[in-house]
Amino acid sequence: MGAALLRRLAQGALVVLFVVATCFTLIRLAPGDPFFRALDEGSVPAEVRSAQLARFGYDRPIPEQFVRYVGNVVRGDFGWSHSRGQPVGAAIAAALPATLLLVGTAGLLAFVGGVSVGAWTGWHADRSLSRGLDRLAMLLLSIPDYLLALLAVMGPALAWGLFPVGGARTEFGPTGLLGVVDRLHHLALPVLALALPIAAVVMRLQHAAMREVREAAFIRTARANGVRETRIRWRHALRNALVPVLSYGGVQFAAALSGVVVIERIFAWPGMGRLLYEGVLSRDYPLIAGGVLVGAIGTVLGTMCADLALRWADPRQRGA
Amino acid sequence: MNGAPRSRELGARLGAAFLALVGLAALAAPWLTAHAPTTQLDPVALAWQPPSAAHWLGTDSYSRDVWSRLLFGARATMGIALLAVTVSLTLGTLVGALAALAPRWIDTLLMRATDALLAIPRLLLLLLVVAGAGTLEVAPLALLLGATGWMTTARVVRQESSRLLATPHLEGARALGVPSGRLLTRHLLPSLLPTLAVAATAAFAAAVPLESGLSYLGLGVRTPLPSWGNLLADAESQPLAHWWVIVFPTLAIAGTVLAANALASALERRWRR
Repeated sequence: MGAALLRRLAQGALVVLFVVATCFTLIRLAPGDPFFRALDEGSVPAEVRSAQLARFGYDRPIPEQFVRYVGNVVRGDFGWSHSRGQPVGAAIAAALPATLLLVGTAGLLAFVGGVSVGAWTGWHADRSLSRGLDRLAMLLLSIPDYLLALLAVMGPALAWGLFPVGGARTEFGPTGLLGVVDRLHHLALPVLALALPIAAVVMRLQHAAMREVREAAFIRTARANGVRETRIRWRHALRNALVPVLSYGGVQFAAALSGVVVIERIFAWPGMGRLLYEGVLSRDYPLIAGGVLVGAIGTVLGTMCADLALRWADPRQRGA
Repeated sequence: MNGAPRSRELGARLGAAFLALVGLAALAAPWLTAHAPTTQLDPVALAWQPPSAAHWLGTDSYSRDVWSRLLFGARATMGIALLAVTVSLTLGTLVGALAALAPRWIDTLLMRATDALLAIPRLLLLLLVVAGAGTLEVAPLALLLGATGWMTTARVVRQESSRLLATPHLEGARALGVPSGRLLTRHLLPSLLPTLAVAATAAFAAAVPLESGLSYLGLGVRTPLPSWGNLLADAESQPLAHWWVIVFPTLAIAGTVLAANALASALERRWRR
């Protein structure tokens, strides 16, 4: 177990390095540089421009820049964000909690909701309610998250005025308990837009798996042995039916992070997605590298958690 | 249990019919509308017209006819998605089949690289390239979508190929000394077709929202050329007052994805085992 975990960690570190190196190279190969807005004017002397590029090391070969960057990160220095005029570490520290809150809540809701609804509909697959729910899930997973977000902004937020249109909290708003309520109020729509399509996929997977497990021989055996029905359903059937859902969850983590970029833009959510989007548009090399680093670590950790859960649910995976 | 398979069959048929309809409408776009999609009919008098007899789906901020933009937008959206699927399917099949046929160390290398690429959020990768290139033409955009989407296909093909290679038919062919290239084209690929059909439909269902999402962000198809995604962006400032500019492209995107998903799940059900 310990050796396997260490090997997974090493693999994960390699993946993070690979991802950051890819993005690091891609953005430097792209036309433009962090100063293209400020220093591309014809009136800026060429010496000033090249001096500024040299000051931050952007005139060096890309591999050298990358090695220097990794060295700096290891020492805890993420560089200077040109577009924000603050250290990248500070920008990330300000944006990360908002995104963790958004993604964490959405992920939890999607998995808990998807698994429990899917388990129920799969177990009672013959009822018309469960067929209807399955069809509803099909519809939900077909609406891209940004369209759900747009519709949410149009309906509940703008037309009915039930929810705030954007932001993570009311500026100069209430504090204390009311402040928490205010934050939850802001959180509701972006979380729903992000969670519903994922929940729908999880639900359908869980539905199919539960339906298959229901007919399995070991369920019949357990029932013949007089195991209580609730125990059969929650311990025997659900645990086995979780396997495909968990292996999906690991793969899907990166895809869910893609959704964050658009959702955060639509709801003006002050998180990592917006940070990255703005960073890419302004070619803020250090900001992009820092954001990608955090995103890659998040993805790898998410995948590893899914793997660990998979080993718990399916002992056959432990040998691998 | 009785009604389910038939209604699923119906869902798949409806899905296929809807996709065919959208495809036909895209091809026949010039004959289905009186206005060119980029013509600004009368920016003063005809901007933001709600749906009417003259303009079935209304007009946008530049007084362009939304119905014609939707029709011609289908060309961009469907065309890009189809090209992207072709690219990703070819790449994914090659990598997956190669991994299954090749010696173990090549297999491990290919699959670990695939997993690593899957760990990069796809939108981020696209954002980096697209924003870097400034503006992308339609064809490079489609190629890019394909080049970033082959990984799931590769995994599925790798899995299915290993399963197929263990079946008597392919084991026999291998034992008879059929060379790898011939084994791939004559024996493996035909058996993979059902899997590939499902993968293609699913990839299509993923490519449509991706393209429209990028275009919505202003990084995909650029106005004045219409695509379903950049139609949405036009009404972003006042979505409620100009609901028709948002609702109809939304229906088109969601309907197409739903149709493709329904078709994919029906195909999968039919060909499983």
